[in-house]
Amino acid sequence: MAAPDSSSTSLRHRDLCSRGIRLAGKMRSDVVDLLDTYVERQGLDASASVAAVEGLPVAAVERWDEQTGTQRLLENLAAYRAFRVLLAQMLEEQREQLGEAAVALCQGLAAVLLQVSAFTYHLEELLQLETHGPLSEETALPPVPSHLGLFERKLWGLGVLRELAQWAVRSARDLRQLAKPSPSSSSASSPVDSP
Amino acid sequence: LSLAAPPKEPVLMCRSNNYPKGFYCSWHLPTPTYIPNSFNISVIHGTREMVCEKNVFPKNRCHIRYLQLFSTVKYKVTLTVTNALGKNSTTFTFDEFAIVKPDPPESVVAKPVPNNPRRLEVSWQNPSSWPDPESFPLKFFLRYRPLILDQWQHVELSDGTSHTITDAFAGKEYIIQVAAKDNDIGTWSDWSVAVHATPWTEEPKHLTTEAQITETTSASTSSFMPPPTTKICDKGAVVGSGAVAVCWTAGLVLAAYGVLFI
Repeated sequence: MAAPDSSSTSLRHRDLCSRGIRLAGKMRSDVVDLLDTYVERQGLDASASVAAVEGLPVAAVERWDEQTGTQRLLENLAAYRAFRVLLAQMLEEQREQLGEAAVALCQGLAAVLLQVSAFTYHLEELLQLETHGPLSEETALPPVPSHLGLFERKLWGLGVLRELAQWAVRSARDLRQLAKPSPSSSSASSPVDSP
Repeated sequence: LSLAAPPKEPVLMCRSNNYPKGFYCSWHLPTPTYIPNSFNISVIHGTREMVCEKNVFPKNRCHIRYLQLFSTVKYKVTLTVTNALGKNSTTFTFDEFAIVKPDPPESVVAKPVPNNPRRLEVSWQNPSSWPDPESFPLKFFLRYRPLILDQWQHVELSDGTSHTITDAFAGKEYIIQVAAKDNDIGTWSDWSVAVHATPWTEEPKHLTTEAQITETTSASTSSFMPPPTTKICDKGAVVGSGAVAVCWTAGLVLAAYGVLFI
């Protein structure tokens, strides 16, 4: 029956959005804590500038308010799939290091990686519900730069965590937009009024 | 006679009270120059120069629309002030999230709760300058204290625009304020305008009742004296939850005396 199906789909959609918002909030909080630990243990300046990194999904977006629900989910999914690879790489590198600093970072990275994986799965569920179709295969990600020196690798890691923190904020906003009732979830939302 | 002076380093601040639409920067000179000054502001984001639209009033302010959201690239705002005797400038560099500070909540109202001597109901509204509270929800911080004390009680609220205070001191006037912050980023607003309220207190009904009985029986030759077996309702028996304590024994006796004197 169409009515109950659309009603249960709508409920599931709302449930996934609200759980996703909570997941994103928790993830952001843990990434911010991890950033503090990372900066301290790696001996970095918290305000250090990080050059653009190839393969790092950038949260910055223009005309954010004009994106469709599907666009939001696709961009989020691509980003977190990339972060899953990047964080796994960071974790592997930390595991090769010795000392208490490395252990603390490993624990923090492992916890955040778990949350990123869970959030990725969550986004996949939402996207399947949104598009009523199979998910696209994960595209091959650019290799993590291997030619960097020790200091450059630390800055690279800082860049990854910073961008992840931005994405966590953006994801919560995207899911709130998605959760807004609209005639069609795939249609563009109306642009924000001019000031 | 005031001596004209070149400008000292200006004071510059930037703030977003209408995120995610944009932000504004405002400035002033720490000391007057006594001659006309001109101000020039530039806003750079990465490699992009952004337009800062000047205000008609106040003159020392301009507005910038966000072209990108969720960027890790910092904004760099440089203000240069020039007059006939010289120039000076200042630069402020910041992250997109760091300057987000809503205006205080509006229409704060505090009311007593009938039959509840320890409660006050507080409600407020989102600041009207915050454009999209649904997608960018605010959380709130409420503070309250009785006027007779200096120490504030604090409550942080992540949902809704109302709260019931349940531990107010009975009969004491309270002062209450609310502040707002974006749920995820930025800093707390200034405190709202303060409102005052006093919790509900019960009218002393038993005193009124005795006075009425004394009036109605004043024509009799004997004054009204309750018999020693009568239970008197005292103040302590009046329950603060609002239920009126009824001393049935005294009530029956009073009714009986009333009938006798009709």
